[in-house]
Amino acid sequence: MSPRRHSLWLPERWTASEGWACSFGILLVLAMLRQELLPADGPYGFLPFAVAVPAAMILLGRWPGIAKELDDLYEHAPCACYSLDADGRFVKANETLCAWLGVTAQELIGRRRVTEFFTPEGIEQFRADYPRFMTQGFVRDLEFELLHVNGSRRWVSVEANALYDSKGRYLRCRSVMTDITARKSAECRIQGLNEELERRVLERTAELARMTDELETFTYSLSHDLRAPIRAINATATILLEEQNRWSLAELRDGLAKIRSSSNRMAQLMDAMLALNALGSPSAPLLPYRHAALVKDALDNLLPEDSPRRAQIVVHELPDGVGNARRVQRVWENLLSNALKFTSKTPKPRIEVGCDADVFYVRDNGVGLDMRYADRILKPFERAHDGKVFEGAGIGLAIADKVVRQDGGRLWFESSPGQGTIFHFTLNGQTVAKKDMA
Amino acid sequence: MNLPSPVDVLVVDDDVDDRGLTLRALRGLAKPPTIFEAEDGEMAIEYLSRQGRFSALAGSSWPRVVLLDLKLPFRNGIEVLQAVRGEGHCPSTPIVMLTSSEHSRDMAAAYAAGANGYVVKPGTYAEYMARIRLVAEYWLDINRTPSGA
Repeated sequence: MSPRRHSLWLPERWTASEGWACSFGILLVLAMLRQELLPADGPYGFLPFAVAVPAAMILLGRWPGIAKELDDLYEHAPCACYSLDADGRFVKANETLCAWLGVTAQELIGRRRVTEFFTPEGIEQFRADYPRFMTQGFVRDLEFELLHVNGSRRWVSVEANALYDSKGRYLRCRSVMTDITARKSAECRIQGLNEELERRVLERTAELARMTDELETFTYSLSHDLRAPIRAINATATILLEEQNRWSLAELRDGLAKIRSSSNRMAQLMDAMLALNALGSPSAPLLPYRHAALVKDALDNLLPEDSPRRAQIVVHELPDGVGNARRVQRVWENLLSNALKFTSKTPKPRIEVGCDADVFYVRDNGVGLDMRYADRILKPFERAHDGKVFEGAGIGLAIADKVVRQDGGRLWFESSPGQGTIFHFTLNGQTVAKKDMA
Repeated sequence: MNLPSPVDVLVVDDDVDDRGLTLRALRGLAKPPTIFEAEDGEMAIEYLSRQGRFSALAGSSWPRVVLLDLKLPFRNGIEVLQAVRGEGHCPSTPIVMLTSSEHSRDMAAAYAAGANGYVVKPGTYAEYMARIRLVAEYWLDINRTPSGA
C-alpha cells in the first residue's frame, strides 16, 4: 500500500468518505454565497445548511487532532524552538530545548533568561547581537555554547525572525537552535590537525635550514681552509724546483717536511669535515647506556695504554642514560680531548668529570680561554687560541655541540685565561639513576 | 719587545706559510717596503689603534697599506675592520682584505665594515707572487693618501 501524503488539514485518520463529505459541504457553502446558483428561498435552499453544518461539525471534531499534530511537531522537533521577549526572557520553548537545558517548561517560561544558559563568551556575544537583531528583524548562523544545568555543553547555531506589533514595536522572536556539536568537534579536530601540521612544517623547515647552513659551512670550509695547505705545498715544491741549486741539504729537508705537514693538515681538515658531516641526524633507536662506560672508552681511545698519563683524571659517579650511546661518546671524547690538549702545558694537569642535577661537566685546570671569544669556540674551524701552541682542526667542540643540540640539550662553558675551563652539557634523553638500572 | 718604527705594509695573517709567501713577494719588489707582521686580530687592532703593546707608537705614522686576512684567531678580519674604522683610527690607511674566501657574503661584509679592497689568495705559488706584487704596486706606488695619515 503506497504511503499516504499528509497535509496539515488532512491528518491520516480521516476516512475517504469524511473527506468527500467535507469537500462537498465546502462547495455548497460557496454556492450559497453565490445565490444565483442556489437561492436560499429555492426548493434546494436547505442543502447548503444540511451539508455545511455536518461538515463543520466534522472539522471541529477533527480540530483537536490537527492541533495535537501541530503541537507534537513543535514540541518534539529535532531542533530547539523558542521565543524571547525584549529582555531575553523565555516566553515560549519547546520540549527539545527544555531537554537540552535540563529544565521544565514551567521553570523556564516567564522566569529564566537565555543568557543563564550561555558561557561568559556567549553572554557577551548575545548582549552585542540581540539589540541589533531586535532592530534588523532577523539573524542567521549565530553560534553559542549552550549549558545544561548539569554542566554539560553543546554547540548550537541560532536562526531567528523578529515579531513586531502593529506599531512596529518588538514583541518577541521566533527562534530555532540546531545542534552543531558534532560539526564543531570535527572543526576542532581539523584545527588541531592543521596546527600539528603547521608545527611539523616549521620543525622540518628549521631542520632544513639547519642542514642547509651546515652544508654551506661544509663547502665554505672545504674551499677556504684547504686552500692554505694546498698553497703551501705548491709554493714549497715550486721554490724547491726553481731554486734547488741554492738550497742546502738541511733546507731541502725542511722544505720536504713542510710539504708533508701541509698534506697532513689537509688530511686532518678533510677528516674533520667528514666527521662533522657524518653526524647527520640521530635516528638510532633509544637504548640504555652507562655514561661511566662511555667516559672510560673515550679515555682509552685518547690515552692508549702505552702512552704516558700526565694528567690526573677524576671521574665522579655518573648516572645512566637512554639514547644513542655512540653519539654521546663522541661528546665525551671531544670534551676530554679538549681538556687534555689545554692541560698539556700545565705543570700539574687535572681533569674532572661528573654530573650535577642532570648537568654533565668536564673541568680542567689548563690555559683557559678568553670569554670575549666564547661565541666562536663552538663554531667549526674557529679558534679562540693560538693555533701554533695548540694544534687542532677546530672541529671537536663543534661536533660535541651539534650532537648535544640534536639531542635537545645544550652545551656551554665557563673559562678564564690561566684559570682553566669547565664545559657543561645537558641531554634531553632520560637520565636514569644508577639504582634504577640495577 | 722591540717596537717597530712606522712601516709601509702591515701584514695580518695567522698562517705562517701564507705570511711567508706574502713577505717573499713584497721583498721581491723593486723597492722592497718595510713590513710589520701581526699574527692575530687582537694584535692588529692594538697596532693600528696604537694601544696595548703598541701604545709607544702613538702619534707616529700609520702603515701605507694593510693586508688583512679574514680568518684570524681572537678577532677575525671583519672585527678588526669594525674596531679600527668604527673608532676612527687611521682613517686614510687603505685596508685590503687578503683571504682565501671567495664567498660573496664575506666580500659584502668586508666592504660594509670599511675595507678598501678585497683580494683572493691564488692557489699556486706563481699566481700568488704575481698578485701580491700587483696589489703592492698599486697601493704603494699608484694610490695616494694624505701624508702622515
